[in-house]
Amino acid sequence: MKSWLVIGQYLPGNSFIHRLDPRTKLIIIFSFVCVLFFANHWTGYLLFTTFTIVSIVLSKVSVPFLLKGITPVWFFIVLTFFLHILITKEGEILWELGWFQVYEAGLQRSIEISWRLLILVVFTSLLTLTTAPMEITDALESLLGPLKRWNLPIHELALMMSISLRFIPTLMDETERISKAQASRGVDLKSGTLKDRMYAFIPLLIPLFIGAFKRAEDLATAMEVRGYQGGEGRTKLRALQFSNLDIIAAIGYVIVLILFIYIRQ
Amino acid sequence: MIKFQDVSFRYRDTDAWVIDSLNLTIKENQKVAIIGKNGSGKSTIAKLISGLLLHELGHIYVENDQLTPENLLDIRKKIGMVFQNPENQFVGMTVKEDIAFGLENRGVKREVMLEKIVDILEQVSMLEYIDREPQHLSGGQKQRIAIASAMVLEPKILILDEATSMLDPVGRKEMMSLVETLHNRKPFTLLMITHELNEAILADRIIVIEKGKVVLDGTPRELFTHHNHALDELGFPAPYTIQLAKGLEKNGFSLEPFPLDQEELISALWKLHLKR
Ligand SMILES: Nc1ncnc2c1ncn2[C@@H]1O[C@H](COP(=O)(O)OP(=O)(O)OP(=O)(O)O)[C@@H](O)[C@H]1O
Ligand SMILES: [Mg+2]
Repeated sequence: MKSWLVIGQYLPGNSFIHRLDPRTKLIIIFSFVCVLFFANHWTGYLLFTTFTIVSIVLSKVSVPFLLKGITPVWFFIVLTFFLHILITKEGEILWELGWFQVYEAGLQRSIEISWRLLILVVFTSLLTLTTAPMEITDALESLLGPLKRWNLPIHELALMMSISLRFIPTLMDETERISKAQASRGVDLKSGTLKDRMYAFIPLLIPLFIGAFKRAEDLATAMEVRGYQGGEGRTKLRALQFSNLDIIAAIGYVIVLILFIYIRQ
Repeated sequence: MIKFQDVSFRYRDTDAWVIDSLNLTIKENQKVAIIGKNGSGKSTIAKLISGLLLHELGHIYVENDQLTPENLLDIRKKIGMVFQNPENQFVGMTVKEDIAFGLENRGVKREVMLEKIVDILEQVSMLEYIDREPQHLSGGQKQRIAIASAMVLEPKILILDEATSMLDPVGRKEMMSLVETLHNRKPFTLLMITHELNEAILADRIIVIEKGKVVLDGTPRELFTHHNHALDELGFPAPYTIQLAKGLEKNGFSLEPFPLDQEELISALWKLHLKR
């Protein structure tokens, strides 16, 4: 039941990466992912791969764990690889089997693209492994804060996100409880055709939804009683604070960027 | 102080009055229990006091201010509420964050916030759980946190809407004694909505609601001595001690003063025994 949650699982720790301000991590990762797509030479890839490995080492996350975490994404990486081999028909033919031909440029492109994808996935899972979901929410609220000026409901979105996060375990418990209750009445969720199983899920979903609505209503009342009136004039207990570590990380990242620009020329 | 003056209320899209020209005055720092059948309107009364629902007719006064749509947010600041299902009242990921929620809404400074959180957790003896996730606490502990989250805002009025109904007997007792302790330390008006006469006995006054009206109102002693039958008919058979005392009375052993709980029963029986 819980295996699909491995992506986005937080591993508490005290490493350099753990202690960075979540805003720093978000900015670096977001911009790095963009820059990644400008790599056009193997030296660039080498630079980015080194940067990724250094980040993993600094995060003290075990490599097998990290790789296990991204299992669901392997499929897409492999798929991308073969898709690019199939559609790119430039350069010399390296290998041929009936209608299936592997071109030199095709192979090169597939490797490049899937490598980029891998780095991207590793980086994002590094973010979620070293940053509590609430920190990410706070960071997003803080970074997107300026958009409030154009009446975008940033505070509300962040609150919605954090409340959803808060209720995930509750709803998981509830799902388990209901499915046990249904199983004890002979509902079989584990065998039969896909269609059968989908039908069997309906008696599970309905009580779950009704329960969730009741919870939402209760929660709204509880929040209102405690004086919630939107983000205006609110203070925060969880305060984000940049530290020297963030400066070090920023300097390191800027060096990587400068090297990259230098390589590209 | 809470005062209802001919208050009527019905839910949108319904014709029947759920609260029907209700008159009620609750004095400052009084401990009041509200009992009544399912659907008699108890929770609705609680929501009317805090302005979560707006009454249609009549007037409601809270601490001498009349409740209007304009000053509702100010009035709400004087009220704390704890509900039945602790699970659905938690906003924060951790105990600390949950208690902070109300303080954050009031714009309390961060340092002051931390002090207040520690202080209130000490009062409900939950300080060691400050960084725990609420869903990993026991039902009784969850309600302690819910009480702390309400009381940290120093309300003049605390409303417990069946707050003990999901707890076991031990948990209930603990929660009632916690509320008692908090009340003794710094008095507030307490309104507890309950189905348990055993709990209602702890109040200074019991109000019985039926179809949105007050049908019985008095101290526990008054109700159990003079309105026993009426209570029984309303679906609230007296607790065992009281039934026993009534039975003895019927057979010519009248107990003075009329006992409300086990201890009082024992001392009354001793008195009777010594008299003979
Ligand atoms: N949101 C609503 N919309 C319409 N009718 C409602 C709503 N909430 C409650 N009612 C009706 O109002 C009446 C009083 O409800 P209320 O919740 O105040 O009862 P209660 O005394 O608290 O009952 P319980 O002991 O079950 O908690 C009931 O008949 C109920 O069906
Ligand atoms: Mg109710």
